[in-house]
Amino acid sequence: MSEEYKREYVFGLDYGTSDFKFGPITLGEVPEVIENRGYFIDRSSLMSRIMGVNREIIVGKDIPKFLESREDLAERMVYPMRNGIIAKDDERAWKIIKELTKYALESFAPPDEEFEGFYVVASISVVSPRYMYEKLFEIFRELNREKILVKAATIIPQPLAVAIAQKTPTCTVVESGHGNTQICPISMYPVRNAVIALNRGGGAANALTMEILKDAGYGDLAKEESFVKLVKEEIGLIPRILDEAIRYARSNPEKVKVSLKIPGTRIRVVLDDMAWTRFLIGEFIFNPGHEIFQSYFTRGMPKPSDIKFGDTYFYGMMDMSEAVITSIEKCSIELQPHLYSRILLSGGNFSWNVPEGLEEVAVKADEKLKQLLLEKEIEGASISIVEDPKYSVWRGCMVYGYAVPHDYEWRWEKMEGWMDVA
Amino acid sequence: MEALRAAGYMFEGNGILGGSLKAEFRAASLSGDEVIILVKSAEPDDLRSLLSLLTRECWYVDVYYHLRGEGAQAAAKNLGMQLPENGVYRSRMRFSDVELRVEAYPRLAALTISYRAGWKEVNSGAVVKVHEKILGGGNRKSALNRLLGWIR
Ligand SMILES: Nc1ncnc2c1ncn2[C@@H]1O[C@H](COP(=O)(O)OP(=O)(O)OP(=O)(O)O)[C@@H](O)[C@H]1O
Ligand SMILES: [Mg+2]
Repeated sequence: MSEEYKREYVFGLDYGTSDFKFGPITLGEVPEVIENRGYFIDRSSLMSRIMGVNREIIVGKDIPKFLESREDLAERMVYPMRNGIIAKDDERAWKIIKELTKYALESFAPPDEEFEGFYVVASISVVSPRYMYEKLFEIFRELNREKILVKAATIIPQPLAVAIAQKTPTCTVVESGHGNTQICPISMYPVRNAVIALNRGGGAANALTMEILKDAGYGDLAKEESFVKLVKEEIGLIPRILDEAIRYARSNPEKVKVSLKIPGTRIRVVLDDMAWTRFLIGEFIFNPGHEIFQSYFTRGMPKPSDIKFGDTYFYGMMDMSEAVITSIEKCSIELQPHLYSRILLSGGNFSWNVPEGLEEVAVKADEKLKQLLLEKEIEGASISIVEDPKYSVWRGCMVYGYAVPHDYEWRWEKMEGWMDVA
Repeated sequence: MEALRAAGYMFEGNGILGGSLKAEFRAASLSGDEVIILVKSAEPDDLRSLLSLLTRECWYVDVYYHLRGEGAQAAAKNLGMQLPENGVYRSRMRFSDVELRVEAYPRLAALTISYRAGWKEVNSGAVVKVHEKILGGGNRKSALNRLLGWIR
């Protein structure tokens, strides 16, 4: 098997908590994206038998077509990676991961004889325990039994993939997706004992948006997550300093108010005298401990909780700058300044924009973090948002797969190289 | 890289700039004998100059186009091909004396078209013809990238 073959068939899989991004190297900049979820069909149901549905699990773009209008929908729809970690014995979750992986690879596997499988670079959370690596390799082997899809595979932690995509050997990666946030110092390799994981991401901002919508009289709509997410992304703002932003909103209501038409429906969401709440959405991502959120918690908004999964703590309420500092301070003192001087923000949860006219009070994620660090007396931190934060992990997979020679074998001690699974 | 610089291209981080051309070094093999350059946007003529330079410097240059949705449909129509309904589909076709490799991914409504370019394809102008055929003459942004041999 030659190097040339490998380069042509490098394939990336980014198992995000909410979105699964995948595709071969020939896609260029943007991978395919489907939701990281699967739907278990009730095969005993009369309807599914009449309609001749003989699959157990549906993943990908077909899901909406198979949703039965049933009460137990929530139970049948499984998001296997809600926390970035799958328990060893969570069979349903692993089944879905297998199905998603198959879907991704089959969508691109060429039919001809020449094809001997992809060189797969998979990326999972940096807190994933070793058995998740073993399990994924096992899945690739199992898939090959039906049809050759994977020639060799390697698995890298998501923050490392980001660092690779940016070609920065020494940095701190803050990867914030939907379900969680990983803070990971990197000095050639991830500094594993300095990793901090937060049990919150874009999903927590959805929960707050839901409350805001309820208060604004859109209680019915607030029940649908996809709708809430859309509203959040459109109207949410990150305040440079929350109190100032709220004051600004109160004295300049015309600048902050919004009216948002939901595409494909007749619904219009209008925030007028409640427009100041737009700033709460962005603040919550960085600093859910701000006293202003207390009233939402007392009224029943779920509070991001500390959880322990395997050996890893996921902090719920720790603010973002505290998390970055705690993580960096676990590294050697000599290394610390270098880690502050290159902080990379990646993941969809950092792709906030500043609308025209609000530059005075609203900021992007990098400036917000800089502000918070300043408040904690960390000066001179240099922070940047990576280009297309949602796709940077997948891009890193491409760069890595392209670079690692095809005959470099997987080593557990270093967690690098190609595992032969054919 | 030196050759690019000598020809007046500017570098900015991983970015490569020259005329209407915006491109980026995306990945390199460990031995440094191959790199991927991602072209983000370019007028056909600027693309041609880049390719002309690269084909002189490299053993080979593979050009890839990846298109989705409407772009994929339009390109398929321009090339006079029928997209299949299912499965992954691979074929070869000749256009302007260039052998194009076409891969269609119906499930994702996507299409990848690639070919190997040499000085012949650049000189005959086939490079520009293929580019316009695939992108429909317009200057639409596309995910277009290429792999190239480095040593010579
Ligand atoms: N333009 C935007 N503005 C604000 N938030 C956004 C924007 N685009 C995406 N998001 C949010 O980013 C989150 C998804 O990010 P991403 O795709 O990186 O997550 P993931 O990879 O599935 O999860 P994780 O990285 O936690 O495993 C969602 O909560 C989404 O609402
Ligand atoms: Mg992610």
